[in-house]
Amino acid sequence: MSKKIISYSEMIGQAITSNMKKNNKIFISGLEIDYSSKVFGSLNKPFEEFPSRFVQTPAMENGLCTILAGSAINGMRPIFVNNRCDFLLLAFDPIVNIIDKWNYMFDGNAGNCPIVITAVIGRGWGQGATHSQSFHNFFSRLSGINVFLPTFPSDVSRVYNYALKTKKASIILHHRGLFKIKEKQNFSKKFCLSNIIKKGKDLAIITFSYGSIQSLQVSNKIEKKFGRKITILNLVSLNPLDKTKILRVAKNHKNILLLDIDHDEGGINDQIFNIIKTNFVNKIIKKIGYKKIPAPAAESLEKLYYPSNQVIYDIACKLLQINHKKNKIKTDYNFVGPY
Amino acid sequence: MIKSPYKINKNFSKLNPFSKKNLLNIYHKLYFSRFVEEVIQNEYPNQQMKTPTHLGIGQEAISVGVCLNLKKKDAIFSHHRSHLPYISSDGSIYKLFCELLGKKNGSSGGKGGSVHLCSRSNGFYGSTAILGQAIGLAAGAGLAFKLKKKKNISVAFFGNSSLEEGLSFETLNFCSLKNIPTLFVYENNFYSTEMPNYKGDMKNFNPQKIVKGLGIKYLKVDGNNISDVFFKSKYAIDYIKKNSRPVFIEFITYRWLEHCGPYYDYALKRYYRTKKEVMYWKKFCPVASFKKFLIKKGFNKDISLLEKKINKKVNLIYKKALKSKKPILKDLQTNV
Ligand SMILES: Cc1ncc(C[n+]2csc(CCOP(=O)(O)OP(=O)(O)O)c2C)c(N)n1
Repeated sequence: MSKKIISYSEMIGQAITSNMKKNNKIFISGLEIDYSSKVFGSLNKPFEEFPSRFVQTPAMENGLCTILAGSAINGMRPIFVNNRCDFLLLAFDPIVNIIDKWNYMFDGNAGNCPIVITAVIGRGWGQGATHSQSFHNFFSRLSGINVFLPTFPSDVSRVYNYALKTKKASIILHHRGLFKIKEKQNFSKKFCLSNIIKKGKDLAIITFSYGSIQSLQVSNKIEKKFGRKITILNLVSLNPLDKTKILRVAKNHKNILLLDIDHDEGGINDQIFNIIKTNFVNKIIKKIGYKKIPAPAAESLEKLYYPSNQVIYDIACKLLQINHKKNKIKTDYNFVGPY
Repeated sequence: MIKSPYKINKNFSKLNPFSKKNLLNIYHKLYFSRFVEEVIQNEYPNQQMKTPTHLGIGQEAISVGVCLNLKKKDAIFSHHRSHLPYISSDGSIYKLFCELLGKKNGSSGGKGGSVHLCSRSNGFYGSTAILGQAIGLAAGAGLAFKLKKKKNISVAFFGNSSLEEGLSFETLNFCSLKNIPTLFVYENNFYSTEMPNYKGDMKNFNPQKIVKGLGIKYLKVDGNNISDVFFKSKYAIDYIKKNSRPVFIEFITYRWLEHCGPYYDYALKRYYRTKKEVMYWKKFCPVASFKKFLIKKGFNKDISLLEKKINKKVNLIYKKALKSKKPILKDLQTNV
């Protein structure tokens, strides 16, 4: 196993490239995919190695997704790359009415539709209402599509290796705050729906994607300041949801904090809340998510809209019955725009 | 290298019958648009305008020329490169700066950012950041005018990527079928982000044939020549009103700066187009060429006075915007 340090964005490229080497049915399509930035650098490597397997297209998300679904049904393995999750809205028809149901509708007789759809969640720096949304809560209500939100390079590697082999279609959402995250490349290759990234007995946080990064920052501070230990369950997959692991974590903790990176109401937080409460009535559960409003562009409003580390810290301390009095913790979201 | 199909030495002779006041008014609009965008360009690196911003420098003649022919009650929609149509429809510059700076006095209260501008009272209904939407929305506003038996028209400003989306074909077909009074303003600046249309996504895409094939009147115009833009869009708008039919104009122009942000691509070492090409197109500058025409007419003094006035005014407005208040918690939840 390599001890090399690799970034999230490099890992996307490496995972795609190594799978492309093994499977010549894999190709990459989307708009703006072979431009200089290559989706925050993530497509540099595959483009270097397999430029001819890039199908750069006009702006045509609705049509393209349908076309790529057709190619998947006919034996190819397309990766449909999107610079923003918001653009996927144009492709909701093929996603919901074709890709999700193809196998089931024909009772398996029409074959699979193993497309991999990736998109970036564009939070911050005034991206505003229509360039910062994430639809993981919507997507994970579907039955026929895996929904993955890898947090670390290790998650990226395992998710791509899995998604590019499984018969089912997958949606992989990358939060923009993660592309520079680095990790030593000596991690296990075994695919898992979730993983515990920190262990502690005093509180459990169940979260994913950028929420896991914030949770780590907050728990490290609480551990240092007050010696209290926190478990963080990083959900790599929202569909399927790792109910077994969630219940195991819930069983061992009295206090549980759920952290979503979308509107809190009616989403994954509520789903996990129900799973825990139907099994363990007495658990104390707090939920954190965005307010049920679109994302504002102004920096002063963004700061209020996205739960800061301070908000998470304060709620965690409350659950831990720590009276921390005005202890400050910074939010470390250092993306510099414009795009 | 991409070259213009039009001549550099612009012919403004059709404007000769215009009064001095009218001509200076046109120049005022052109120079004002340019200067406002330049202020944004110069201030943007200071990281106070934290919103992805698409500047229109080099494309001013199109929105100025089209909007000069519009009535206050007409409806304008724009794609993400939204500042110029907003300014040309007389949207408040103070509100524009405030919006970019994320201030409460912004045209969208700071909630929208550069891509979501609006000035309803001036007919600028809104700009959006998802490709194709401006085309569909303008058609919808046109349909509303028709159903309300109003004589107004609607206008959509957009680039080639919007045109590529399926929505655009559906909309054009609809407008032709239902006789919708909409002017489609296609600003062909030869690129979508870093993709040159001629060898990329529009290699086989012939807007003229597509639009005509749908039964819609199509015009192709030098978008850097204010005289051509003005008269051709006047003709188009008269045609729309008289026949209650849509018209589609392809304006040839060029975007000087990077797709999103204040810099020249060559300064950032992006190689999708050359510095030479940008320099070539700068010679087609819609503001400078018209200025030359006015100077030949002997309006030097008026022009330098006008420019000085605008510079001073716009700089002051920017300073005022910097000092204006940021939205606070209670603003976050309004108008949900
Ligand atoms: C549905 C959708 N897909 C992709 C994008 C990303 N995007 C924003 S602007 C742009 C290119 C625009 O080029 P063009 O239409 O030529 O207008 P210009 O920027 O040149 O004025 C793209 C691909 C988007 N905003 N919406």
